[in-house]
Amino acid sequence: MARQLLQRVGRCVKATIIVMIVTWHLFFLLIRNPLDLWDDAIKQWLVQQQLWQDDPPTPEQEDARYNLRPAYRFLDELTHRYAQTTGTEQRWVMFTPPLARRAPFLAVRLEFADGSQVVVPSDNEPPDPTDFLRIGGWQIRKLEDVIMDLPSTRGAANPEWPMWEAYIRWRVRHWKKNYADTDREPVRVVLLKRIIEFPGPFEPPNRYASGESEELLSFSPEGKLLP
Amino acid sequence: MTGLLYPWWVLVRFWTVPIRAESLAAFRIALATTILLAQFTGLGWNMQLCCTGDDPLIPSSTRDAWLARSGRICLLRGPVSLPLLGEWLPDRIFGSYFKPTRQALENWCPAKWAEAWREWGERPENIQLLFRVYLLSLGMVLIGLRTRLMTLVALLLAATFNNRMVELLNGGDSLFRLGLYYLMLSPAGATWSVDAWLRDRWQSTALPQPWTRPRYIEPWSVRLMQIQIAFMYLFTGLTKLADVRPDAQWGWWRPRGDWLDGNALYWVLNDVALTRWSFAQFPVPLFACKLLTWGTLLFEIFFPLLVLFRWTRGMTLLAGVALHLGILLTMEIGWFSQVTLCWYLLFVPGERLAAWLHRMLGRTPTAPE
Repeated sequence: MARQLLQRVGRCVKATIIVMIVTWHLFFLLIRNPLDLWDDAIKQWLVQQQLWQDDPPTPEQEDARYNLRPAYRFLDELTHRYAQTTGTEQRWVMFTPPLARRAPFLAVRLEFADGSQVVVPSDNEPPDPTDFLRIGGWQIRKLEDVIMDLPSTRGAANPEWPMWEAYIRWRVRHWKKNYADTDREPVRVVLLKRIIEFPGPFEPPNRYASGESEELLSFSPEGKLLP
Repeated sequence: MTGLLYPWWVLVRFWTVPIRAESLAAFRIALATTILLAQFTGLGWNMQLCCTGDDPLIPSSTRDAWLARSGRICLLRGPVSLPLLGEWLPDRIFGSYFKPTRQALENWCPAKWAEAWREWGERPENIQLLFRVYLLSLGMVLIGLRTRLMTLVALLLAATFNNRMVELLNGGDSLFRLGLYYLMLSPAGATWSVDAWLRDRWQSTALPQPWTRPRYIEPWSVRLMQIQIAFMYLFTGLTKLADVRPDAQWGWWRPRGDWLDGNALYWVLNDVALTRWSFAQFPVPLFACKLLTWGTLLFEIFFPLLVLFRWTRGMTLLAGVALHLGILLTMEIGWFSQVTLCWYLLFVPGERLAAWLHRMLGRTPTAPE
């Protein structure tokens, strides 16, 4: 009898836990997905509907009927933190519009003491955009996308800045390894963003325009930022 | 059951009627295999360059502020964001509520130990050791030995290495982690696993072999995974459909952009940073690009609806397989397509998967328990 009662209690506890887990996950998916994609738009809409007050409120928010900001912020932070900690991030944004009309590639220009220079493109940049085959290399492309997106805070004040310095040193090492027979030493390394523009839908398919190149930053070969 | 209660009855059945365990087992095996292969060709391949070399591209010190700020876990960087051991119930969420209770549930790891832990995680030999443990845990998930525990270990280490080298990741890695997370919640070792084989051996030797014996599980974990993948398609489709920004005529949600005018696929296939080969080598007619663009958009937005009904499910899954094989063939974006296709196994009835396996093994299935 006692055993049966215990079994029944056990089943009830298990069922309750399962209902809680399922409810939480459905709630999480319903909250996190729209907030990940349209956070700003939802906030703007709430302001328009007089349901949002910043702290302190802006003049147009002073007549708000209700203030949903505390509840919104709580749900946003809670689900965001849960996603980050458990590795269940949502934010499904593959190939969202507007789609790219040009592809940027990271390159470095090595400048030598004798005044000569050489541009070393990324391994991911096709030498001929009308004729190539790519297998692998997508992870280094992702890293180079991050490096290309320069942070506003540079140097020691940015804890992530050593990544930019390490990238420069790697490119110099890589060049030296490929040209081991040369006695030239680079004195300055310039980070470049090289652009390849795609042909429009009604243009000939081989009309890729390459060549535009933007100087991002200059470094010493050891990775120190130069003025 | 008819009338007003019918939808309720369907909903209750959806969440409660036991289902065959083979779909979940096939997902477990396919996912673990895919993650293992991805590690060999991805993070494992770039580990020396980015993490363990003399001058790594991603120095370990660059992680700490970001990990603490974002609440992510990396066992190579100490107890940051780990429940109980580190700070995991921040003021940003809870404000001043339950402050004493929260403080009592945080930072159990003393600062000196945390520092020693961080130093341990900086040494290349320790990083390599942990990576081997990660691969081993994935192998255990694959064969289904101590399945739930090994899935938890694999999930923790996946987060560790993904957050250590986050700059190298894409959506495929998110799907890896999501898969491991849901597997951890589910009875993934119920069949087609060493766990099931051992359980059968201990219980009775008279029962048929676990490979041929039907097993049933509670459906809720599989349902959550199906809903997760449906959400992925729905929201990625919705973001393609509309630009969300102020518009005088439409307000905030105006349908417009490359996906509606049909040129999206043309631009994607022309993106020389992502494609396997040049569009100029194999040009696709514009009308075909438009049809494929609109087809993809419709597939993504209506996937949750189409996959709900038995008579449209098969065709929807076949369309999805074609879509992802197309992406795999034309785009170099890592393991995204392969891992997404693993999730499709959750929509295939366990009976059908078991029948395929029996056909392959040349055996006849036994009657249900």
